[in-house]
Amino acid sequence: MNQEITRGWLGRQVARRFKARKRSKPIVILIQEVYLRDDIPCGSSLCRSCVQESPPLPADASHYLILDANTLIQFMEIWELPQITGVIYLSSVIKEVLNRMNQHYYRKLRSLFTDRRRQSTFFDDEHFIYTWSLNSDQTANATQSGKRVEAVAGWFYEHLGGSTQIVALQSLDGSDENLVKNQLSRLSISDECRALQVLTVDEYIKEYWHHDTSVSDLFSSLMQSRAESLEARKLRKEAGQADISVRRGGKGAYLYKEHLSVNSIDAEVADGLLRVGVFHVDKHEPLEGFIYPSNKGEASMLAIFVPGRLLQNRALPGDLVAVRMLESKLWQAPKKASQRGRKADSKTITEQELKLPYLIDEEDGPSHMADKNGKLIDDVQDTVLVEEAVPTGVVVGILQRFQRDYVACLAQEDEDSLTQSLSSRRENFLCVPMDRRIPMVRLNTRFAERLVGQRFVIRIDGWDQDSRVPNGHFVRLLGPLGDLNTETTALMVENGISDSPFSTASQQELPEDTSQNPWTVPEEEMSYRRDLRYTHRTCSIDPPGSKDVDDALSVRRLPNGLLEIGVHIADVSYFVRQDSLLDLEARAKGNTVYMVGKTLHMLPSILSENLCSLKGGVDRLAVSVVWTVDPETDFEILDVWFGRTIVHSRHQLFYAQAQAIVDGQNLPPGWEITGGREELAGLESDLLILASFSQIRRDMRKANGAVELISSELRFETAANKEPVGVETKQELPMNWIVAELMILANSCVGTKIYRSFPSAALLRRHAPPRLDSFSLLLECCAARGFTLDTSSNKALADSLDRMRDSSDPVVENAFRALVTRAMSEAEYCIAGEQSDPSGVYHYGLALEFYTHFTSPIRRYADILVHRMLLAACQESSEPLKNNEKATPSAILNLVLPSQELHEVVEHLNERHRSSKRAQKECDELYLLMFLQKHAKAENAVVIKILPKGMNVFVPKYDLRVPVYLQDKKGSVILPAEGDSDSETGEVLDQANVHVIVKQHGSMKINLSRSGETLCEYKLMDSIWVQLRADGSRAHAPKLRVRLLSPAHPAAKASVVESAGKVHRGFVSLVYRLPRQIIPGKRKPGREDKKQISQDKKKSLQDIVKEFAVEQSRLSEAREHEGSDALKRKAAASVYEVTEDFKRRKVASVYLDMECVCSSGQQQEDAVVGTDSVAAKIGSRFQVQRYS
Amino acid sequence: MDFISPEGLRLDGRRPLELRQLQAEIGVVEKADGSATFEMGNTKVIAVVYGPREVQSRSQQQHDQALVRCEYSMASFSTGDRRRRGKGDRRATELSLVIRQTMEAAILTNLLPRSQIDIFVQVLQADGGTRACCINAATLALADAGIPMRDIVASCAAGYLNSTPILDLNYLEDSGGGPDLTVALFPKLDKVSLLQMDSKIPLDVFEKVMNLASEGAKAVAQFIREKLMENTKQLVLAKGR
Repeated sequence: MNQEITRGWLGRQVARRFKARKRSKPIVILIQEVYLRDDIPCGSSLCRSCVQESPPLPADASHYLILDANTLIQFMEIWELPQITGVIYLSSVIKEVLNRMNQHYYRKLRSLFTDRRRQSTFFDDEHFIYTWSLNSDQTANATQSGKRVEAVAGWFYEHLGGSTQIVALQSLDGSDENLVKNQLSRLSISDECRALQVLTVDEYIKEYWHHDTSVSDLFSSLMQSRAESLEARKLRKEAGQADISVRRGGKGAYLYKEHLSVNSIDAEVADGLLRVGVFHVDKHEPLEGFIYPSNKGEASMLAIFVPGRLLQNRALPGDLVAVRMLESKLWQAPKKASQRGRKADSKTITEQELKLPYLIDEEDGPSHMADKNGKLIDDVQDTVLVEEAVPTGVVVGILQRFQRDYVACLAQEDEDSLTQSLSSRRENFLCVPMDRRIPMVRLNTRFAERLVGQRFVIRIDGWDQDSRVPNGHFVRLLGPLGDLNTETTALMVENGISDSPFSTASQQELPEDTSQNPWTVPEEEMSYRRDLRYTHRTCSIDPPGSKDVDDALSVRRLPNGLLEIGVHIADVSYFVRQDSLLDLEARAKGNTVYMVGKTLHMLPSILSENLCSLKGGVDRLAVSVVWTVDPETDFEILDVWFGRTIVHSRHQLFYAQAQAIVDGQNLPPGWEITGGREELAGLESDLLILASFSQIRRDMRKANGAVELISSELRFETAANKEPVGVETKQELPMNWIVAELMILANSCVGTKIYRSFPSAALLRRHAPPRLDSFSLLLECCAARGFTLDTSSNKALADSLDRMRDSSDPVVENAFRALVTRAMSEAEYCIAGEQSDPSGVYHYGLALEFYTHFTSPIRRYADILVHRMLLAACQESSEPLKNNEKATPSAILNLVLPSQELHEVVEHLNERHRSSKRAQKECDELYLLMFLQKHAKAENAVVIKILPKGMNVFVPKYDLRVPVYLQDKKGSVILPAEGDSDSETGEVLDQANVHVIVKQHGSMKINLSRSGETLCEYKLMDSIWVQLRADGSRAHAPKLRVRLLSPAHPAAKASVVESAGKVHRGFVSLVYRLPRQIIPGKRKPGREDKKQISQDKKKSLQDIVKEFAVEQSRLSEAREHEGSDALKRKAAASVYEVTEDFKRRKVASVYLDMECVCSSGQQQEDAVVGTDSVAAKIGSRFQVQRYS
Repeated sequence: MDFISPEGLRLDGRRPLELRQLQAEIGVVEKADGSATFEMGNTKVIAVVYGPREVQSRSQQQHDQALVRCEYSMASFSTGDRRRRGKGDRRATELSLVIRQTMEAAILTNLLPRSQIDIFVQVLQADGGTRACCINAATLALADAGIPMRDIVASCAAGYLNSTPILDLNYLEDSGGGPDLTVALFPKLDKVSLLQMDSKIPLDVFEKVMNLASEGAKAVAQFIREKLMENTKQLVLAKGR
């Protein structure tokens, strides 16, 4: 190791700093060393003297900005806007900010200067010998820190020689004209030359950002909310000083207890009196909050319940709060049974939120569910038992507020008052956020008329003690309420999905592909990539109309009877280089989001739809996985090859087309493929081979315990105005499963490969076994029907589901499978070495040891990372290595991502995946409800739970779990609707109380009250008919209404007829068997082949070639004696000459003379086939250069 | 908390491979046979050597080699809060043993049979890396006492934070949760006398950190040598001629 211990620092000072610490010791003196140096680069591309690699500050910026602590904190949102670039963050300023706020703020600040797209830099002025000053305490007042910022600005100006404008910002209070003048005179710059400016934020925005309305609007709105809160504080102070008794009651009363300061919280946490955790709230019970306190990063099992506004003390969902536990006699019980005894896993919160449709509001059901106090009765039990109380606590302080954009609209009453009395000069309005967990927010704005009937984005500023609601400021308008576009955008904002276009800088990194200058495979790529264009028949199978083709498949028959099955994936990592702007943007997005009618791509379309996509008829770069299999022994995999290739996809098929081909049907017009009948026959045999191969792999997984899950996807037909006019569930063909199985196999092989090379850093995908309590509902249902559901392992579960298939109604069985799918935990990305869970990296659902995402790099960022890791593992990195570093896999991997960052990226990708899944689901539900608003639908449903006054049913078609009530608030029975469309909206109430409902264990009956005769009975797992429709709601999305239908209802009858025609295929159990004559030229002794393959690797080059020659001659003889084959191919080759300069030049030239006798006109291909098989055999060990 | 800024500077402005400021003074306690203070940054240690002298308890006398005893203590004012530490403190006992073993390996004990060498080390100011500083101070004190040694013992500590090996941690970095590896070696003989680490790290990381600490120790050895030369020159001048 030749690391040099240098002494680069020039001087040393000892700094005394004061810090406020624990309550017992208010002030602590810290003695720290400060090493001063002069080798700190300035970070500017304009600088010619500093030694720096890729300086972030741009050369073409109009100005560089230096902020001081006050402006940084107060106007943080402005500096977070993407337009603000070229900012210099000083270490002294950052330190001051962190002392003012708290340490958790650092992550937010860090992203401002580490994200390369912001083109900002971090300058360590405290250790730079020219900008260091003796009094650099944090307790310096504003003038002191102001002087520092100006000193640094002056140094920058001198250092860059005035080549660009430097602007230093000062806070509003304390800007001193004289200071500015003194500074400028000291630098002997005249007032006319304004290359160095010291401005207030106000002046700065006016001068430099008057053209950009988003910046100036945000600034004015922030100023306004600040002014308003300052005023309110002043008023409160005056009121408080005037009359102390006002505090106890009346208008100035403090509703909430004061929060503790961060320092005292830290002290108490250390003493064990307080717990810290993130505050979560259930969407259905916004007044019940939970905290799962974490001790040093490990989630504990304890869940602290915090109900009601008083105890919550102004905490909002997502905040990091400190909680004090109450004594056990004050503990309360939560209303939802599922909240009790939950394991503390912050991921389960989002699971629950994902699965329960957010639009079904049980609170808003018939309000008979409330008792006379207005409190809601639990639907599981009628009385709240004391034993069910759980540990309860009260929030005493907030360590960090969760900051994000909220979508909201004006509260109804405020809107009405606005429209009625336009002359009112009110500035405070209440608005309702779309997210039900957030309380109403007070908005201070002068432009309230603009907000009437619109959805807009707000941010929450804070929540004062004496205010019932938090206050916030307006950020931007989205559009009119109820408009589909607006609602979709609102969903995207709520889930953090941005739809801003790709920045111009990143677009410059894209390659050109125009008609004048089309893109072709570059020369250097051809030199090291394996060329599969002419030797493999490659095809791709995707949904109809898809333009981003990620994957292609190919089958090749080797002369020795083995098969080469290849999966080729678009080589995105070639176009998207490590840490390029495209890479950073794609990383931030995480994946492509598919919403109804709108797709937000992760990569620009020139890549995703053209250059990366494996379209039919063009040459494309790919990363391939090629298996050598033996068709004789059940497609046993003998060898697997990974690497970069060039492919040429001949046929771009869609599923229905591929299915028709493999079934041997005649193709309807428009579905034909190029190449004529020979090609079609070849393609058909290829697809059959793939089908058999995938069938066998599927059976293997099933034997290992893979659980077949179903996910229902909805497809909407939209009219011209984007409104949904039809909804269908996606039909799955066997071809879907075949392709999926091959992708699963590819993913699994790649996962295994990168795990073996990088056991501590491989990016894998794991699926934890489901939590046992998530099956409680299902177990009850099963018991009611006499089934047993064995949940001990994935195999046991799969077997139980299979047993059920044979003995029950397919609708019920389907519903059941869907419910099991819901009970599963979420799969997530993980890093191989960092799994502390006992299940490790195992994938429960697929029953695979190692699994990762590899096959869709165009639409998922994780796949791009896996590509890079795979290529590093195969030692084929395209990134240049540092000098003298050995090209080991680890060295190459370090280029991929340093381990610290990998961890953060994985967390980020998991969160993005969850958010986009949630957004997609919410968008689907939105469209579904919009559709149901106009057209009520009668659907099949399955009873899954009996409630006191009704039941929970599951609608498999839309994957919804909804309650159906049989009794309204007055107690009269709601009868199943038998009538026709007249009473569509009203419920059929039994006014005369002729009927009564009887609830028994496991069933619900409607009886005639007088005679006790049963009219209808509903048991668990019964299949019934319900009518679904939706009502609009203003602030939130439309609400679903469910009505029970009797079998005699005409709509129910119509649907029965409709669905009888369709075969409900939840999964596939077709078996593909390979006809013998598909594979030509099979040799009789199959076993020898295998031995040869394994021994091949040990033989030398010459031996291989000699063998090949012998083989070929034998084959040609054999064929002459054999009868005719299905395809009648004959190829003969003779080895002409072998020159072996091998030992000297590591190159052997093999000259092959190919003599092809073909009867079907595929001469060239056969010639190539021959050389190719030699090359393939050799290629596993040596490099092959081909000359034609 | 970023221990290494995006630019590569640590919290106190050093780069990951830089040592703190080294200062040493020899002959600070006139009564003792040998004494020295050693400072690495803000960590200040004083070492005092008594010996070789008569063994104080006959039972412990060894007929063929010298008896080396070592006592380590931290002054109650050495850390931020004034804390009284008893001599039976576990950490003090462990460190005493460790320093004793390290120095014993360096001293040519068979040249001084039936005698006793006492090394007293006290930390006056603790800011990370006290172990290494103690060993360095003891080396200087032994040299000042004129006790024959195989080679000087130089020692340095290194760690691993933010995926970078860091040399000579101070207190803040030490409490950052990463590994803390101290190495003491004989620079001319290139042999390790002490290697101590208190965490779990993968092997390739360990290699990097250990190599870094060894390089650091060699740089400290260079400094110790210079200090000794300077001291000797002064003594020569004081003697005249």
